[in-house]
Amino acid sequence: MSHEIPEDLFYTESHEYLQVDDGTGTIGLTAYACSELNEIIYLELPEEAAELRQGEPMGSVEAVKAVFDLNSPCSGEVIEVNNQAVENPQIVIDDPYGEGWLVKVKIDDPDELDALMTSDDYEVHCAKEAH
Amino acid sequence: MERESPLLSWHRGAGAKMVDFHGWQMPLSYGRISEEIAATRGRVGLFDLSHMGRIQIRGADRVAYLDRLFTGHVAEMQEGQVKYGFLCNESGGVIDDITVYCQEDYLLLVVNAANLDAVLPWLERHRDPAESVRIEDKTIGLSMFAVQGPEAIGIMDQLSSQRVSDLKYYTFTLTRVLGNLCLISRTGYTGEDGFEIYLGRTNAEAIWAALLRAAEHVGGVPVGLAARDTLRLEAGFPLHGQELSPKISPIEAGLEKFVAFEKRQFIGRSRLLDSTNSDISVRLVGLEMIGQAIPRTGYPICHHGVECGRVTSGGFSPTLGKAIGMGFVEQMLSNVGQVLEVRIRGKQHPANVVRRPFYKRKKKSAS
Repeated sequence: MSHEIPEDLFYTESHEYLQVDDGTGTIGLTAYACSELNEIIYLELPEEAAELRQGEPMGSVEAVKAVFDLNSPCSGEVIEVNNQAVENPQIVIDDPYGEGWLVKVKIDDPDELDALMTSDDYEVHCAKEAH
Repeated sequence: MERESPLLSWHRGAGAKMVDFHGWQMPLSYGRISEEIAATRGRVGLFDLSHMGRIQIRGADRVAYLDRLFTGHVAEMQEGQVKYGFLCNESGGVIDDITVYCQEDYLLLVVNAANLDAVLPWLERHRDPAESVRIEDKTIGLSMFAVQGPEAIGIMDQLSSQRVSDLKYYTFTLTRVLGNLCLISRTGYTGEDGFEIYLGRTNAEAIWAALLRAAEHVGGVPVGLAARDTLRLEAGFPLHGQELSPKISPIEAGLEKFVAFEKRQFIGRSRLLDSTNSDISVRLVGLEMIGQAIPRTGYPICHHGVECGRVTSGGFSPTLGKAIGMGFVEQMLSNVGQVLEVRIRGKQHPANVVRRPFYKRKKKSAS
């Protein structure tokens, strides 16, 4: 089954995306991850002003059947948390690239983005994981 | 023939998320898992269980033979009766938990998909060459569905040529569905009233389609393995590989009522009997989390911060709106009301030891 993988985002192996907009990054879960999760019971997200480190745990997603750790795609300070997603996690599943974003960060080091995957790389990564 | 459900292409066509389940491609979910659970609890759920192992035992000595291996009393079974119990090893551990169907000229054993390849050689090894016993693997030739939930009765009465609502719990009958001979039992693994249906592979898709039409008419849905696992957890049923294993005895799992000690001999009997007479070290408990943290398989269970066991099954129960789990702890910590903790990502989260089942259906009052 194919899932939406927008071309203008960066991706991690653990299925977070990063949307970069003038030094600000929006972190969310990919549509592929949302399909794997099926439905979310609750989200644990970092608090505002928390310092994230690239590749390190920043929270978790509890689904009916499993739990997934969220790893930060970049280092930086959390400047906004999507409380709507915390209150109603279903929007993450329904609209992962829109209303269902998780946190916004001030990106520390743009060079870190080189370590992330492009949409093409990520598509191959998902295909491999599915087999 | 390969281990392949006759409904494989139907599941794919229905958009199911498929999973490799012990060599079988089976549906994990068709849509939202909590909706499949709610449909089964409130209306009706339809399950393809073609992956379960089905073994027929024939021959004049079949009853005496199986009585040497099964913890239930086979000789006491009447035709049309179903019995749940265990195939144990010499140390009392469970090779598999199975149901036995007593038919006029054969016994049907329904075993876990994961254990078919262990059970078949175990059955062969304990067959005395002097006995008239034939063991036939019917897993591929026979298919198996379940219809579970409060509307299951109406659907099955409507589709079968005989009133199956007359069947008592854990009994079965042979009857026709769409003109095809089927074995229908009042059994299940969800905690709901319902039926399991055994039928020839060639008719499976047509009968599934008829069941689904009838189910959808009353708001029922097909249900995948993910919801099935949560349904059985809510109902407090053990799953082999988690609450039962060759290293876990039925006594430790709290299932001694399925061990017929009055039988003089069956494999594992003496060790099981010893363990009932001694203080066994661990007991299976039901855990209900006090907060929202969800226990998962393998998480440590603690008492005052000290690990005293592990979660064997856990998850979020959409029916109860609570996080629940099961696990083995020292017997002295296994009493209902005991407060324990589950360690989740480094933090201790309090949980109460509660009675199982976590969920109990409301029985209809006699009218």
